[in-house]
Amino acid sequence: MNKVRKMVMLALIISQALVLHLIEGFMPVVAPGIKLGLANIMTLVTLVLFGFKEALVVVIVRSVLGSLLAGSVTAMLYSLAGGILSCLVMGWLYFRWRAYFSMMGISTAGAIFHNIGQLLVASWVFGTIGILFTYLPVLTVAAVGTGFFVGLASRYIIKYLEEQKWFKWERG
Amino acid sequence: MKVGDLIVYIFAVALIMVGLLGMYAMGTQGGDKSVVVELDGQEVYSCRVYKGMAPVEFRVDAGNGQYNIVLITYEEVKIKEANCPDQVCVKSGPIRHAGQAIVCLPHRVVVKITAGHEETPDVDDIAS
Repeated sequence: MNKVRKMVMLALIISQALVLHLIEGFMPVVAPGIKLGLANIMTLVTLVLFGFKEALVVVIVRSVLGSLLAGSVTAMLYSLAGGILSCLVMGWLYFRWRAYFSMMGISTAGAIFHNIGQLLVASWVFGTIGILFTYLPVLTVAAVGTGFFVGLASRYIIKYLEEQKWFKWERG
Repeated sequence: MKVGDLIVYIFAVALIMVGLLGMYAMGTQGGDKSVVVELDGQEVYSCRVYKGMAPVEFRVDAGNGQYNIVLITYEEVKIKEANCPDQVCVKSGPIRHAGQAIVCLPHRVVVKITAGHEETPDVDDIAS
């Protein structure tokens, strides 16, 4: 694949993920810690269309830039921990067990591990494991719901992109 | 739905159980409860909760004019007022059981209910 074109595509994906990340910040908070995880759509799309390494790059750059634009150092820590853990899990599931999972399943698993990563960091920052237990049930219920729709959205995006002539040529 | 998806959902249910069990286990360690307020991981205030106590209002100063007002009563603990940007700590409502916590991320404040009162041992503890 043409290196420059790949870089441009990744840059576009990162900027889209960044916009989704920021838009999410404007949404009203239903309960502490519950977010839609829209930026995860772009991670999943990158994972499927480009590969694991590229997805990890997208997650890291998005988390760092997103926290710099709106957030704090602690927010960056949460975002990175959740994002990297969720990316590792989704990559493992997708490249190892693809036949057994739908996009929705992979994305739900990613959402669940995003929460676990964040809660582990929160427990570490606040020095109490109680936070993990208190938030786990509520966040897991939310992750099942949001993970499903994130998976659905990324499935349609991937399907659309794969049908495009210019993109096929792009993947080469 | 594929097999793997089912495994993910079973895993999710298992996690919810683990969380609830963990909360329950932390809530049943002894009868006495105390409230601990932490700022930046450092304990700034703690008090024992007992029946018939007068309500306590504690103001946490997180610097730069940032504050959270914690209201502690026998029945529940809540953050009454705060000037943090997201107001998550105020909106998350009262907590009642040991192991629960209210977190204000912008001000780095944690209010948690702990079982027992190891921080302030009284005479009975030494005698036993």
